[in-house]
Amino acid sequence: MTMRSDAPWRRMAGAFFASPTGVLAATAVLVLAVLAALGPGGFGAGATTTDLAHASEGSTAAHILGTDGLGRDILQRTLAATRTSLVLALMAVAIAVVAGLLIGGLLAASGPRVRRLGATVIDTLMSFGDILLAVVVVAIVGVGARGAVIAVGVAFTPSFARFTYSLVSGVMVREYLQAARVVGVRRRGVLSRYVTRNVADSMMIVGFTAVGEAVIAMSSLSFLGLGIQPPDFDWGQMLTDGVKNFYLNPYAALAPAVMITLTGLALSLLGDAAARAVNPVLWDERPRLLRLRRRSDAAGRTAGSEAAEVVGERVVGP
Amino acid sequence: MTAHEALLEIDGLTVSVAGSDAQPVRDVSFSVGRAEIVGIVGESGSGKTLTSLAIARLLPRNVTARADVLRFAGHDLLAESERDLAGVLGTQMAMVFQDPMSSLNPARRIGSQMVEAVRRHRGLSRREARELAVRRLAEVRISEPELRLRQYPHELSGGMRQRTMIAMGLMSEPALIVADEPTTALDVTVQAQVMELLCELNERQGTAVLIISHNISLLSEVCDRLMVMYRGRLVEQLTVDELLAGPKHPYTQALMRAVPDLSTDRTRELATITDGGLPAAEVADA
Amino acid sequence: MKWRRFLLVRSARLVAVLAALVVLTFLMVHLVPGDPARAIAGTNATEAAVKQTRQELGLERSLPRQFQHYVSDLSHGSLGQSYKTRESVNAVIADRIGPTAQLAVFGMVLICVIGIPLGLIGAVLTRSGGRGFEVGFSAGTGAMAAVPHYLTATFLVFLFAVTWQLLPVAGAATLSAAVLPAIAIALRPAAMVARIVRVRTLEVLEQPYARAARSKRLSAATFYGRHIFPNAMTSTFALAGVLFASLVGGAVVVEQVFARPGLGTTLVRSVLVGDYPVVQGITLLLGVTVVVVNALADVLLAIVDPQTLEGES
Repeated sequence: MTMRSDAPWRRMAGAFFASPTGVLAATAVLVLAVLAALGPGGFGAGATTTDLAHASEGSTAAHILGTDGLGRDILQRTLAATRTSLVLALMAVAIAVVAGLLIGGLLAASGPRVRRLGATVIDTLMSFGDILLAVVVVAIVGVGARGAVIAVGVAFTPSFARFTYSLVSGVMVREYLQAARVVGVRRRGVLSRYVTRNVADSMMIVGFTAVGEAVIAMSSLSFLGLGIQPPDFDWGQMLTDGVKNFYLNPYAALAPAVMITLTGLALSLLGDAAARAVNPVLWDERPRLLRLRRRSDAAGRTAGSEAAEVVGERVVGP
Repeated sequence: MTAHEALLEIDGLTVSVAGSDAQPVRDVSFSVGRAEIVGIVGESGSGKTLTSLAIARLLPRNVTARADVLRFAGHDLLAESERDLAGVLGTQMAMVFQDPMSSLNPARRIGSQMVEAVRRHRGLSRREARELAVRRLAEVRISEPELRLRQYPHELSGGMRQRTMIAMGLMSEPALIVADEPTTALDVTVQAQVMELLCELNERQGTAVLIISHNISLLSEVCDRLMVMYRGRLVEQLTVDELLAGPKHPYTQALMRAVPDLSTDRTRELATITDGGLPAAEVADA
Repeated sequence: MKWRRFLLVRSARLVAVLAALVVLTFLMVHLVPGDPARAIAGTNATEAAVKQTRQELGLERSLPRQFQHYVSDLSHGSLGQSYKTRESVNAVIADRIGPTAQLAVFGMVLICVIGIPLGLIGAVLTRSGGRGFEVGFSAGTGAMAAVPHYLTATFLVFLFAVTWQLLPVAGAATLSAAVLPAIAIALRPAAMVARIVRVRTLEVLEQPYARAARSKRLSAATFYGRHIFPNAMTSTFALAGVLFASLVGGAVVVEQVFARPGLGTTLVRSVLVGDYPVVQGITLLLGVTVVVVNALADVLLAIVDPQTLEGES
């Protein structure tokens, strides 16, 4: 309750960090950002220097996570791949966000017939699922890093378009918008002050999660041989390589696998925490985890009767 | 009224919320005799609903009730286990909730929802239970009861649903119906029907009724006795005659003033209830 | 009456989506930069050979005419002819659909068998288990949902097939060969289902009708089995279509890991070699399957929860 008098940003941060997952996710993403900033060159030449004399070794003093089939250091290589993996995923999401905003916004602004047609096309594309759509797009634009970015971008576009569309049409009919119009806020003002704000908040949240998913999708394409091609490398491609020599050095597959999984998880948790932060309704509320904590009932309850007793509604105003 | 006659007996009921100092209900004592209609009136937030949930042992998990005495139909609701009480609470006490729209399970037919309690607690066969359900629906004046059993809640009107809820409560011939704002969600003509129905049941079958409402004039028409709750406390208990003669407690007086009737001057604002009209002590510890 | 209206609206939408699919798969091939005829005839082919290839493939016709042919072929049930092997796409698909269908069915069963109970138990334990359990559940299912299909697949191969030698690693010769790929495919969607089912169940437990049911003091089995779980399931059911799509996408990747000769492996290989009619045919088939499954799920949902009929009209 003491938070009530604080500045909005402070309460926002409070909501963001209210659950341990928010803190963890933010830390993990920060670490990833630093790794990406250091770039492929920041971790020593071992990432790309081949050394066939020490190929596919397990963990040694010189190579903590061992080496791959060409004797390159797995640890250095995994860290060095951070930038490529993240940048490709970010580019793909950028494509999806821009295209999705455009398509979704245009649809929301157009007449009912176009809307229905557009919604049908979007639904169709969405029913394919990310990976399948991406594979199909790769078939059109060609194999490689560029193709994979476009493919993942296009594959994610329908959901962003759909999201924008429902968001914009949803916000437009809200009562406070009509109220704003009644009190004389101009249409442009309505758009920039209310719609943009709402859409931007939601986009940010969904965007975080989408970057995590894009890392996974990009690596899936690399794994299928449709993504980034040697000598360039990202986690997906390292994984494909590593799997072949799993017995000689399991770290070659494990290291990139862990990175992909952690990145996906951290970004999706960051999205959750961001959702809490931008929603003022949740600022003063502890995260939902707390609302359902163990409760005790006064009237004597035995363990056996617990199951029948489990329900407990939130207090309704008497 | 002596203790052994009372169907429901409450002494010193206090409800508190875990993890906070809040006590939405404090030191409430009253009793409901067999075949009596008793009302609890109060504004929202006064603790009426929590009181009723405490009686039915349906409080949310983070809310605790304690009392010196909490007895229903000869059973100690504080000491006995949920398992031992299931039969009593499942048959002798029927709950009718505020919102008939959402108090019936939307995905199940009326019939199966009506029969499940008696099937469990009375061991009736499927056919016996259905026949009983048809009779109960007819008693609450629902047309084509056979058809209704096969329908889903969304196919019934609001008034019908509330009457169905009451019929469902009547399945096991309860000794007490606890109705929490049973008519608030309904329109005025339907409100009157539902209240009439409750009175009729009380007269015909001797079912005691505890009605909870914010509407003092509605309660004064049907109840034998009224209890006024304010900020978690029972501030006044009085019979309807006493109420009409003029309540003593300033809060009750304020409630009465807030009721418009045909003689109310429509150009003037209605009286509002303010803390100013209450003794300082009441406000201070609220 | 409501049903007729519902079915009418729903089938109109289905037809529209199917039409959109046909158009999109047609355009797909024609969006490809470059000249497929030259690619197929080979870079060293003479101009005449390229021209002949073009004619054989019907690529010299105008776009509307080609579309007309595409649609008329489709109406006869023909998906065209492979650029590479000149085999009919129908034959290619017929040859490869078995392992994929098997995988999808196994996967769907696993999703239900793992995801739904996990979510239900999760909800009940959240009620009594407190915060620690909830954090654990979110983290666990979150991690499960974050692991890409091919990763799960790879680890399963090494654990079960190579290290413990319990199950076959590759191919689709036996039924047991489908076990590991099905697990690999199902784990991610199952985690999603578990999360959704848990949240929905908790929501249903907060509904007024849950309290009304509780006031009847039913047995735990009746209370959960008839009042809580069915309602939680109907809202989860609406996601069946999405889940199936994710299953199909997973199949494309997972088949690669297990070297199953299914539609997924064929699709990826055809993309790599630029065999567009095969890509087109498989895409259309998978798309139609997903769309039809979606429509069926909607109808089933309406049967289970008749309230949805109201919303549709």
